[in-house]
Amino acid sequence: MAGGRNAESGTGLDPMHQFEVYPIVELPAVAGIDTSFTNSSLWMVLAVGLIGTFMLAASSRSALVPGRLQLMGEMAYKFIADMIQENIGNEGMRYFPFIFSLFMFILFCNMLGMLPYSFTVTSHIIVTFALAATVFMLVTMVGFARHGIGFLKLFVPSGIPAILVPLLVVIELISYLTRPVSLSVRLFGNMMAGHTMLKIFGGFVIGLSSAGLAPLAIAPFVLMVALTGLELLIAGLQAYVFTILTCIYLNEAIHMDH
Amino acid sequence: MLGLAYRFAVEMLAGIGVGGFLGWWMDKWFGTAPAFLLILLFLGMIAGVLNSVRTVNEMRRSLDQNAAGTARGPDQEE
Repeated sequence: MAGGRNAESGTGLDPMHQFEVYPIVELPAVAGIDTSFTNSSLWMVLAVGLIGTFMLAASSRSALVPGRLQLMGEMAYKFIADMIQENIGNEGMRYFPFIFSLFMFILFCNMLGMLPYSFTVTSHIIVTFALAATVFMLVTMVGFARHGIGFLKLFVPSGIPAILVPLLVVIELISYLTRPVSLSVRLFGNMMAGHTMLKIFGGFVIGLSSAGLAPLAIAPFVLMVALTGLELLIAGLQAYVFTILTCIYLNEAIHMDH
Repeated sequence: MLGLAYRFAVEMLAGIGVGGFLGWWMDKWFGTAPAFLLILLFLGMIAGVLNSVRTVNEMRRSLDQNAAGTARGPDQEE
């Protein structure tokens, strides 16, 4: 949330400073692509490391009466397993590893972003778009693998006059292609807007109290505390929304009921 | 409620964006300056509205389900 260096910049507090990506370890470019290890990479590695440690620790001692950690791990498992059963059915359990990893990664990135001085990986559209594009490609491949060329019937609505069919196919195709865009923009927008808002209210508190109007600074401070709670909710909710939409898209590719 | 409004805004903008991009790209490919851009921009808007309508239907279905006291639907936000 709060960047360390912004106090030096002339304009005071820059709410967008928290989204800056900078290299931590400079690495040589490979085929024109900068491969430096950035703060973004660091937080992604941290998220993956935490998930790994958490799941390993949760499943190390499988007691009949679970301890706290084991209970948390089992709850996470059951949450995603139920979601898949409800939205896709039994066949969906084949994709459990993918969906579970996706959910945990987004959840941990969002939650780690709530720590002060941290970096929110999911507030960058390229990260969310990469996740959404992976989902999009998986859904398309599953569809073609299951139904062959018949998957294209998804784009032909039934019960439509023949003249309108070409037009509607194009519209359906565009609608299908908007999925990765809306999926990624939703997560990115929520995270970026929330963190910018937190930073702006934080800036109000600092600005007002340094101007000698400390009693007035209570209002934005209270609001910021409330917003932090809201942001925690959104962090969980957006991970959930991203995952459940993945389930819905996968269900459509597997069962093809529109 | 803000979450809902935000979803529709994203849905419509995504439609226009994808339509516009496809049109621009096809124009560049075929060299037919504004023709495809205009057509696909328009179709993109339609696709955006279509997606929004589908989202509403989905939400209504999950609301009905919630009212019946069963499964959790996709749209729990506000």
